[in-house]
Amino acid sequence: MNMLLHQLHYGIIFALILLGMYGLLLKKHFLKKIIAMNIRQVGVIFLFISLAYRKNALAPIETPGAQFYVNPLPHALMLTAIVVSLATTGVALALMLKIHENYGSLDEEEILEQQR
Amino acid sequence: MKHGIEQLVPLAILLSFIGGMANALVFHRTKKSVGVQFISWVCLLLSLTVNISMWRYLGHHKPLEYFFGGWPAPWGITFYVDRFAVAFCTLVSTLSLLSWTYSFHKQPALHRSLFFILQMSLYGMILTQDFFNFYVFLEVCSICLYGLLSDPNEPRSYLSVFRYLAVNTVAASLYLIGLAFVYSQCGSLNMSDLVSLIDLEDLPNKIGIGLMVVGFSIKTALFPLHFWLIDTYGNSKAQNTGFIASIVTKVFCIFLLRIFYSMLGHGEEALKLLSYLGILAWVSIALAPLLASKQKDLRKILAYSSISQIGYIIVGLAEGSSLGLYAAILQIFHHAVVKLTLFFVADEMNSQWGSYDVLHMANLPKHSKLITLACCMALLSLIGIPPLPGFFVKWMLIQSAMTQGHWVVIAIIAIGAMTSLLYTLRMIEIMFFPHTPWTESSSSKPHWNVYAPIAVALVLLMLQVGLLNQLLSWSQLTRYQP
Repeated sequence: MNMLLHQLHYGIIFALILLGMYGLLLKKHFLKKIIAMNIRQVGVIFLFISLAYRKNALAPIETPGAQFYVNPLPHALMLTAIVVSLATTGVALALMLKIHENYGSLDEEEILEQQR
Repeated sequence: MKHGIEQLVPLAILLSFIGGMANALVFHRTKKSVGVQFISWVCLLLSLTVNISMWRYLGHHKPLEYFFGGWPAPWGITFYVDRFAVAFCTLVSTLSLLSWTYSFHKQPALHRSLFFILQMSLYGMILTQDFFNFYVFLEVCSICLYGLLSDPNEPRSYLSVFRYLAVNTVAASLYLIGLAFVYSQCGSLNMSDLVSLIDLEDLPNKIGIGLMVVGFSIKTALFPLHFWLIDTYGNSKAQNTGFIASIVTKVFCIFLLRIFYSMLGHGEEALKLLSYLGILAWVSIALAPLLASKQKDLRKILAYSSISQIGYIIVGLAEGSSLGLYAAILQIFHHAVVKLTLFFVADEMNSQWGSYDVLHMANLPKHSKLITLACCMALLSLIGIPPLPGFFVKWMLIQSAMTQGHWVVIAIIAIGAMTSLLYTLRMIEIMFFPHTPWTESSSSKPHWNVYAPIAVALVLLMLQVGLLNQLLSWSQLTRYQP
């Protein structure tokens, strides 16, 4: 049971990632798609951060008497990933605005109707 | 440090970046700025020179390694250059020079800037040894693609680019999750480090590499995951799509090649994973040409044909033999040049007769003999007519399949050749035996910047068979022994 509790966060992370993928691919509203994309990215970031964690470990700054430090590398990687996700979200929002300008709607089905 | 030649390694990236920034600075100006054009040309020509000189140097020297900030392998990001990698860099810089010559005067300044940044990310993806660094370049590449593929005059392109973005971010995050598995197990992100650390018998490693492979099969548009490619290529300007279709999806194939041939070696598990990919590629080879033959838009025909041609690369990799590897590499070069030529033809058609309808090809022979010749050669090479490189790809694939007893591969290649006859012969028929009377072209004869890149691409296509010898010399590189 204790073991299971220690692994609980992985379950939550994968729930987030799957939720994000489901929303991105199957929701019809473009804004909802973008929100789902962000949820999924947060899931991936949590996954990396939880890899770096060690019990009773300190931040990776040299401290006298410290036994363990958390791994700083995944944190550094995720800083970059956050920037990347910011840029992608920006592009997605710009595209969404352009779609709204051209079709007057943000619902995928409605736009597909218009195209026919 | 003795020669200082390894300082050339990141130079191509730096030059493309300078070109991109120079073009971004003048985006608000409507009139042409000569200085920036000059800088762009210099950057393109210099990066081609750098790559060719590295190619010559590596002919009789050891591969180079470049440490960013002087940090060696497990700590810092490293670039690794052997003849193999630099050949692909030369391909990128040649194609970008051709594509720039063709389209620089029609592009808005921001698209020009994106074109340079795209080039930078391609060099980065080919050279980098660090998995996370690859991810960053991949995202830079994707963002450039979103910009280049959306065409303000075609509102549908925004929809297709949005769909592309959705699929692409899913693929990228699958790659990232796979990376998390591999990192948690091996504790390193450096490819040359992982060679000794990774063991595919371990379940997390297997899951990690498997997720990466699924991500890449989306990115390279293998069959059930190909739908994004048709819409995005079919709705955007052919002048941009030419460069993108010819090189971007191939860079992911090159990375797969690196993962499987240089990092995982000849392990049984790795080959099993690759053979699953191969099965997807069989479907693409056999089915995509059938779908291509039903399309009316030339861009969509070319998009379906890209899917089937990338299938050949993956089948070559999945063979797991050195002949299969040669076939895959030759196919990368062959398809890049062929697709660039055909997209130039499509763009020329659009600018002369106003649409990408394949029936406009009937006007080509009277319009320009050179373009018709290049188009025919490219199409014949796609089918695999003997003196052209497309034939050698299929020949080597069939040879390799025969020695290993992969009879399905032979059957699939035969079916693929048959079905690709459907769309290539249809195009040739339209060109030489038109059903509709010839319509006068709206504008005059094409300029030099249409002729020159098509002529150079034609010459490159003809000379590619000479690559076979180079491929044999690459086989002596220990890192890519299959």
